[in-house]
Amino acid sequence: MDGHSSTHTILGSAEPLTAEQRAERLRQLAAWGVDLSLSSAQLGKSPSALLQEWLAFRPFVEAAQREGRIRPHRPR
Amino acid sequence: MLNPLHLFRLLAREEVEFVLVGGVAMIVQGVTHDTNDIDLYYRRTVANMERLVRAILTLNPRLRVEGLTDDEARLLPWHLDVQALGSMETLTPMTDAGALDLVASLSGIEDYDAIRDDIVDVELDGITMSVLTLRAIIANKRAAARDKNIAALPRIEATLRLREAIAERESSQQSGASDYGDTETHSA
Repeated sequence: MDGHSSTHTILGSAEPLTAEQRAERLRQLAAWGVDLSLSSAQLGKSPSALLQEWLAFRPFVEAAQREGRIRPHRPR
Repeated sequence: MLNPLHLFRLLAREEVEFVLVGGVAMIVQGVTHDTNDIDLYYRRTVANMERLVRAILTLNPRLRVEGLTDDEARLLPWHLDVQALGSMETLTPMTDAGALDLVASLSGIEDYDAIRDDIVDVELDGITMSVLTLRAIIANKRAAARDKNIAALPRIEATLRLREAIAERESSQQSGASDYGDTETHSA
């Protein structure tokens, strides 16, 4: 979590970058906590496979939401 | 129960002009993400709204009301038509294919015609879908600036940058292959 506190800019922009700048940005994103290996693995799948994978996962989330195990965050 | 493919087939059959945006647009482009609804950005002409309404009506649309179950919401006296759709910038019905966000405007995007260069064609189970690019999704989420939008930005950018790196590598490999091919031709 140290990466969060040491980074004051919002990571998540889309401006054109050189290859070197892109590599540096990916290092920053990884330090922030993004799992690049997971992101890379997703890119090896077809859009249909990605959609089906997500749809297969949804019933578990929906059941948890129905049972109140996942709720919108309410600040205490 | 979400059934986006059924919805997309209905929209394709009615020739609705729309772009898939939001969470599902991120997922089909490889971003690790979850969402409760399907977001559609549609062209706001009367003819297109008629086509959109015709497609959605086959999915028993009803209101999503906080504090009411879906069964209770089905009993409310509400009917989807062009007037109901046109009266709001964003309409959020529940349907038999899942919860929808039907949006007529997007933060950070001037209008429907302005996104022509920010669309990619994505094939989903034989249906070719217009999907908002990750670049435009980032612009949209930065402009909307809700907490959940900001939280998703690093994952979206990571996928965008990895895609760019792959495209660059493939492009340089292709040019390398073509140089090699030329050499072969010359030496033959």
